[in-house]
Amino acid sequence: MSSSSSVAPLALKLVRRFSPKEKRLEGLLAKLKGLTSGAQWVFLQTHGMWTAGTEGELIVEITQNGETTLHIHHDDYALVKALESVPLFHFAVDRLAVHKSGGGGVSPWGVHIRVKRGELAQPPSESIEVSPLAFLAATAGLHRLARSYRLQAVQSSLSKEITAALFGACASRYKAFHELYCVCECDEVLGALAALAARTVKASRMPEEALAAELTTAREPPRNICAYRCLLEHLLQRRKLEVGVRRVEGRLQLYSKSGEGSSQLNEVLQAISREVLGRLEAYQRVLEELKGGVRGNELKLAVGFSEQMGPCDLYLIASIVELIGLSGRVEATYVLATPLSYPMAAVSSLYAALELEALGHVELVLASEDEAVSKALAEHLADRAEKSTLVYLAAGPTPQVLALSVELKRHLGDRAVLIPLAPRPAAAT
Amino acid sequence: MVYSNPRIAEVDLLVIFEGGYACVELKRRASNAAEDSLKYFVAGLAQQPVFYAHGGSQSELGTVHHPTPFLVPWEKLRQQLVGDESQLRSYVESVAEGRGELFSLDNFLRLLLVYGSPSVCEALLSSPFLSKLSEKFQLVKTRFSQTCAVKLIPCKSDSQRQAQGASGDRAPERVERIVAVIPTLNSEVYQKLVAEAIERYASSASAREVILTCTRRSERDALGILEVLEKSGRVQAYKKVVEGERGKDLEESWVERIFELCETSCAVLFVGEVPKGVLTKSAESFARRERKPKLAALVWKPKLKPESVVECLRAGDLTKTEEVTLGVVEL
Repeated sequence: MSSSSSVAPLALKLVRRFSPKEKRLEGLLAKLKGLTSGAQWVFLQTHGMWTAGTEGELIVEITQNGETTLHIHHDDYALVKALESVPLFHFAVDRLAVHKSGGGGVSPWGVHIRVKRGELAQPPSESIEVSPLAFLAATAGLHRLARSYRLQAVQSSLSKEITAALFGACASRYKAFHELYCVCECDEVLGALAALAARTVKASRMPEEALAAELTTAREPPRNICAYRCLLEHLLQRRKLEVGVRRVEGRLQLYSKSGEGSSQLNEVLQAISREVLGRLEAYQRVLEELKGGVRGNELKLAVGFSEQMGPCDLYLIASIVELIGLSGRVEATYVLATPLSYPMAAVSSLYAALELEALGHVELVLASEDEAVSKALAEHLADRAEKSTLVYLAAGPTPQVLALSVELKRHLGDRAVLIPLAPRPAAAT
Repeated sequence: MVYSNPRIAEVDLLVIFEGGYACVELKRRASNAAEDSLKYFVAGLAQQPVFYAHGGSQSELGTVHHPTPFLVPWEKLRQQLVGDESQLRSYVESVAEGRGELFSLDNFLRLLLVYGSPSVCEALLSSPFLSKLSEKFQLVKTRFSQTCAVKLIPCKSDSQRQAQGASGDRAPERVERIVAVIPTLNSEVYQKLVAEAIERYASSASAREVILTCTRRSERDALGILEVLEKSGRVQAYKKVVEGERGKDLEESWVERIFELCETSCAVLFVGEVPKGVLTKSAESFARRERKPKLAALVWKPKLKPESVVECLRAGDLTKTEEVTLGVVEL
């Protein structure tokens, strides 16, 4: 990877196509009336807000130093208003550029002040289409949730590769999240990796105080900055990338599928593999424990949805269910969101309800780490379980996992199966 | 964290109407009125009306170079907005009590009220589990009816049975020993905060000793906590490093060691991001035991004193923000 002083930015365009399975869409849209408008929706973080897009285009440009510019069209007035209404939560880009198709240089009077200040510019001549998840990853801020979104976007774009590497199985029959949008997989991977690399490079300049203000022990300072910088430069120079996932000594590892310049790229990909994919090694344990014997013909799954989780997690769970022949037995899946994971849990459960039939009826349940809420949730799940076996895939905040595990055991006894969403630690010799 | 740290979108007073809300920003001096306007923009509240009130007299307005149309003396605004003080007091008390118990959920519901679109609010409020919570907890029911009023959503809660008040903070039962489970904390700041929380818990539960269990990876954090506990000297504290044993993984060894240390009256306190396998195995071990120890975890809790809120409203001093502290919840 040669060093270059200036490389043209990479432009990611938010895709407008959306094609889930017709039958499931029909039923779901009736239920979610008002949340989605037709097939075109823009994914925003705040409480899962969606709004119908108009004719304009949304493009984000990523530069070599990790900075981002959002290109937006004047005519998208309603969208501009929606985006600008809560700037804290989304579209935390470095610059805003406004386009006018008819020429001229004056902003309409009604457009928000930030748009008025935005540079009037030409849209980028070349761009690649990405799903709303990769687009969100590129435009989200630098807080820890945004970092999770970027990791989720990469994981989601590689869902099929990860499934094959983890379980040694052929890719699942289900569409990955981005495939619902008919996005080319190479472009999705490229966009998601560029978003991750760019914002990690930017976040490395964040002050210590900002990290401390997140009030959590879960956030680690950014690592492997050099590797991310090299990766970003490579992506901006080459504009294409074929990435695969393989298992090396039990660990998931990213690698380049193309020959040219691959040894250096592989070093970079290897350096970031643990951070990007390490958490997903937990699903090998889920597979083993579910295979090891879950009694009862009727199963219900309760998936603790932590802030690191995204659509890929539900894809992997559905693949496991298929792989070990449980698909007919899973009646329902409850996605247990917390206030922090709620927006991504909402989108992921919508995806699962549309596509992942193996998970049965998918229901999003908003809970929290408050002990009283966890107890009520355990009661609610125990009621819903009726005579089925309830498999709790434990993830999320410590107080919630602890309270749910204890209470589910109390209510359901052996019919509560607890499986931690964490890689199996090695036994001591 | 944007959802759980209320200081990010801190508003002095949120006035709720049928179909909307307004923010009140209160300053001691009229001349300082508009200094927080950027905060409202950054927090995404710029499109909502903001009233600026000042604690000074009417004559002070004469010294303001650039008065805004909404700059009014707090005394006048208080009379119009707050009204009966006894009603306000009982509202603040009921909210403060429930908020201590449902801190995380309440932050979410408050942000939903401010930021959520009506359709998202409607979908969420009608979901089975949240509906159940609104039947169970008075605070959730209150937030539901406030959100319904602001978003003009038909409210179902009126026909529901009376929700329970919050159970409030229970005083912990007496225990001899606290066995704390210390994972990696990733920050030295937390070592001190966790140590202080353990100390408060030990004091309220009259525990005589604290044993910090950790692994080789988290030993540094355990040492940091131990140092703080030893310095204050209020409780005897020890550290035990758990090693993997032959044929067992580290999670199994850790859980076995935790419960071995639970003799007569004991509490197991889980701190921070404990590995999920340790949590689920602890729950399984707990379910099998006849003599069960207390199980507890650390969570962020608000330090809200209702009397000081009412007093501040009366005096027109809303400069204090809600503080949060690490507290212990027992299962």
